[in-house]
Amino acid sequence: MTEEQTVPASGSILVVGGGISGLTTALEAAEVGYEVFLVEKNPFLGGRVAQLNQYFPKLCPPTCGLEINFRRIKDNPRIKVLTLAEVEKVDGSPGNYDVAIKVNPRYVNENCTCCGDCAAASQTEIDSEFDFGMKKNKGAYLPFEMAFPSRFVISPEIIGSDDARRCKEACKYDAIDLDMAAKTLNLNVGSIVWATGWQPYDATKIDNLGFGQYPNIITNMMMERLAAPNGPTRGKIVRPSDDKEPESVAFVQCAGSRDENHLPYCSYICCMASLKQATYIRERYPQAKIYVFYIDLRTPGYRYEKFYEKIKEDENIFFIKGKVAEVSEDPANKNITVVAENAVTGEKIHQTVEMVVLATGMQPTTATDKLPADLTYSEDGFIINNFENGGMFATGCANKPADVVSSNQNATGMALKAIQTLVNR
Amino acid sequence: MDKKYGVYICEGCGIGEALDIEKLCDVPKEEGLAVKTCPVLCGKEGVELLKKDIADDGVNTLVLAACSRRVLYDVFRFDGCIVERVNLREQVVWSHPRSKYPAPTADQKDDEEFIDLVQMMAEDYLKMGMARVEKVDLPEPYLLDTFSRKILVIGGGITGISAAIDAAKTGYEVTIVEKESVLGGNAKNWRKQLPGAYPYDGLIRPTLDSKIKELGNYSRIAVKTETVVARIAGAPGEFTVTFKKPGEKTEFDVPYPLPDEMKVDDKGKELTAEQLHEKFMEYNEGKQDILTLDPNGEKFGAVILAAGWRPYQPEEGEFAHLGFGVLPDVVTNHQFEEMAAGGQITRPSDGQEAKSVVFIQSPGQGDDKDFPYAGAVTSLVALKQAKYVRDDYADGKAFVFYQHMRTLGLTENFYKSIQQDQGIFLTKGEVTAVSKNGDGMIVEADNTLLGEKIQVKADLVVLATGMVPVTKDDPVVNLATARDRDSAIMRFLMTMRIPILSAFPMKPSGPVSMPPAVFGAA
Ligand SMILES: Cc1cc2nc3c(=O)[nH]c(=O)nc-3n(C[C@H](O)[C@H](O)[C@H](O)COP(=O)(O)OP(=O)(O)OC[C@H]3O[C@@H](n4cnc5c(N)ncnc54)[C@H](O)[C@@H]3O)c2cc1C
Ligand SMILES: Cc1cc2nc3c(=O)[nH]c(=O)nc-3n(C[C@H](O)[C@H](O)[C@H](O)COP(=O)(O)OP(=O)(O)OC[C@H]3O[C@@H](n4cnc5c(N)ncnc54)[C@H](O)[C@@H]3O)c2cc1C
Ligand code: SF4
Ligand code: SF4
Ligand code: SF4
Repeated sequence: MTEEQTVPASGSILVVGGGISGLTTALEAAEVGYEVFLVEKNPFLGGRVAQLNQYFPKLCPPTCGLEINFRRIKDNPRIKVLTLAEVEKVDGSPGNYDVAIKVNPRYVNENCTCCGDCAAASQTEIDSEFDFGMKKNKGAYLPFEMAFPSRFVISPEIIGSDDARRCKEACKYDAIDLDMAAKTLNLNVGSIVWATGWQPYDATKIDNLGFGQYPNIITNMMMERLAAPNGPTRGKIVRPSDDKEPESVAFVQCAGSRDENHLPYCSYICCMASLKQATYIRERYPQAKIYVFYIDLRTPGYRYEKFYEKIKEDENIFFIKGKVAEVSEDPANKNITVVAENAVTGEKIHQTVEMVVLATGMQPTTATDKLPADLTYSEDGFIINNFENGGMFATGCANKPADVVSSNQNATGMALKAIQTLVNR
Repeated sequence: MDKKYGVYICEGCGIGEALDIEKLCDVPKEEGLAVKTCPVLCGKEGVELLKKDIADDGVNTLVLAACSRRVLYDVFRFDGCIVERVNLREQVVWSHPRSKYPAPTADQKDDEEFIDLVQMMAEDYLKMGMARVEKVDLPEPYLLDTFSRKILVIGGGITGISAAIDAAKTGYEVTIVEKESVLGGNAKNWRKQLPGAYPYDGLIRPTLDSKIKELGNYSRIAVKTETVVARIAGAPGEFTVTFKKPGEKTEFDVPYPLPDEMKVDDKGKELTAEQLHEKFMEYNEGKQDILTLDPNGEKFGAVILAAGWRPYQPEEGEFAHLGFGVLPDVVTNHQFEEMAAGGQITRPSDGQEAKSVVFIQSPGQGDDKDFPYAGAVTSLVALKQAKYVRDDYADGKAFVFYQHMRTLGLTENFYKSIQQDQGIFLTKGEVTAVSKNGDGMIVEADNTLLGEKIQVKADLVVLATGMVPVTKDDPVVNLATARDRDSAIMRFLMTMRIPILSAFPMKPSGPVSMPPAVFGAA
């Protein structure tokens, strides 16, 4: 060991949010020797990417990347994962934070084998948020097949009801504990990384685009679920009004983004997401016509530009430079007519299609839910980093809209910033 | 290790109901292996049973025929034991339910010829698991003889400098090698810098100088200018690096692999290993082979590539329709930036004030593509440079013709602030021609927001040509491995703007993990 210069790894880091950004920060820090607490409010890790069908630009399933990360967590005793958990309080200063974490009951303990008998016994049906209400969960459910931790959850809605009792009785493995209660954990950590991510912008707020009014207008996140093999239709893309396989689909770009009345910024990923979703449709329906209404196609850089070039070769995909101003429905067949104004000529374009996908943008979760810590937010709700102060850092889409690659780069950087806080304490 | 085998079959989660467990037990029995069954292997009793066999009977090689290795990994982890998980649950029972693949009837059971596919599948998986544990051994950690925690950064541009500072702040020793005589790279030539943090709405003073100053605060950072890497030998944690002056030839220059045509003889027959080696040494005359370590080399644990980019060099006549290479006042964005950093913006041809400047984002000709090697920053650079024109001349005008204004995410704010400037005209459109007009030029464009076919008088035209990674021309890292330039590593290194670390081991005996990358906190 002639050359070694030891940099001792000691101290712990709290990572809030178990999406791809939080996972990355947690793993990078733990793998160089730090103790990490990863706090996730959902009953599963993975965040939004767990809902995606495929990743652009490689079109591989996100479960693949997630599984690798889960594997890293399983092999790493330095990471403590807390699901169904939220931060309640943060006191202290860089290098020394006292944190209170509330862990909500799952009502299912580590005996759970995922046999599914409880779900079979449950008679309650609850809209699945994961599937944007396009699917129902039972009162006891596994969030999705590849969920990690792989353990069922009992919905708090059925607690105290007969249905909860039915679930408990169905369980052969003594895994259901209906008396589980919320508990609070107190931790002392040296630094905190906020990776609280994003939520889809509420499309019902965009009055002129008809979401929530006409069934055949869906959002891009709903499209991800429709295309996903573990989604409500097992990967069949059909339009909601009559389950018809669509022969024509329009994508409306910047739906709510780059719009002073909604999200004034660009959401970064929705251009690439629509191009990607065009491939979902093409894969299933070789003849379907696809119309993309856009202001600018933001696909810069080597890989993204190449992806766009490839899509452009498809004769049945039409790119129309124009912002969609209004939509209307033909009550007879539920088809949608999209009206756009050509950005350059000012000419009005009418296009009737069987289904419309709104490329809705991302809003930081902190736009609506502020965190119980001394943080600064931008007008749009993103957490602003203050590197002078240090100690607490925001990463991924909590800090700015970004794709997975940029989120991961940023999350790795923030692991380093968190470590620096501990080293320089 | 002396293996003592134990096979355990779980009957829980529907396995017991779907399969003939007794028959399944015959599989290990036939091989002479001990086998036990358990109603719920992951339950208290099951785990106790395993622990007891390990402690009392010395079982150290366990085949657990139960569920997927994705689950209960922590329950079935036993130190010092080989544990193989045979996935009867997900891969057999759950994915091939008896409702679809009925269990054999009593008659079928007696029928020698009858094959129950589900049972057979379970038996096969079990056999595979048993075969596997026979072959595998517990991995032994690879111990390095010498272990270095020093980090080498190749390239002293803004990326390399930021990486070095962040690594030093974390407590590491860092060496930066820079091939030029000064640090800074491309950022040396900026008049102003794009916003890099909230609110992302205005240009800022270049941060390079303060970064270089900050670098001086760290005694842990060594800087070697006018130096490049001749060779990096060894492995993560124990790289041996030879430095040299740019252009110098040394015996530790990395040898190049033989080109394919040299791997065969005159008759096209493949050479033998000895002949190949001889050829290789001939081809790399004067260089040491890849296994010879430089006794004077410096040791590093990890390497960060931050060698950056060079401006795209258009081929002769490539953008002639835009006047490039034909008219002296048509320049690239890189040339324009240098000019602007040097002082007021003027025409290269005659030094006159350049008050009307046209920025072209796409070469056009019927395509909406940007210039080759344009990146996420190219649109932003045009907006920044348009602002320079306005800063220099109160009556100055800047025109930006683009196909797609690529100001992603929060950088949209900067775009919006530029839109407020009365003297900056931003429009979609295809530039069709740039021609001489007296002292100045005329730019013709189609399909613009300002009109269908328009002409703009210009003193200067700026093309948004892209950034080519230096690794396109030069391997830079010069790894002494048998890999060639097209290898995955080289393709991996092609990514720019991001410093890339080689594997960064944390302690000699521990797992070699992926790096805590040192990104300038963007
Ligand atoms: C339609 C669509 C398609 C997309 N497709 C792609 C693609 O193909 N490729 C690509 O690169 N990117 C894609 N993206 C972008 C990608 O989804 C994001 O880059 C990614 O989700 C960012 O990850 P994150 O961890 O920052 O945030 P999230 O995924 O939102 O994760 C945040 C996590 O934090 C948790 N959390 C939130 N608040 C709290 C709290 N207070 N306490 C505890 N936990 C909390 C959340 O439950 C969640 O698990 C797509 C986006 C959209 C809209
Ligand atoms: C006109 C223009 C203006 C721009 N303006 C901005 C801006 O305002 N803001 C912004 O964020 N981005 C801007 N960019 C993008 C920006 O230039 C890059 O992001 C930035 O330069 C990347 O820095 P770097 O350190 O990675 O690379 P570089 O600046 O290219 O630095 C690489 C360094 O490595 C050295 N090197 C190369 N090969 C070797 C070798 N073999 N051995 C040792 N050393 C080597 C080089 O000499 C150089 O010093 C602009 C780009 C252009 C084209
Ligand atoms: S809680 Fe019980 S019944 Fe439900 S899946 Fe888990 S083990 Fe099966
Ligand atoms: S990524 Fe594309 S669709 Fe999304 S907001 Fe930006 S420009 Fe609009
Ligand atoms: S979870 Fe695995 S080990 Fe436990 S009962 Fe089911 S198959 Fe057996």
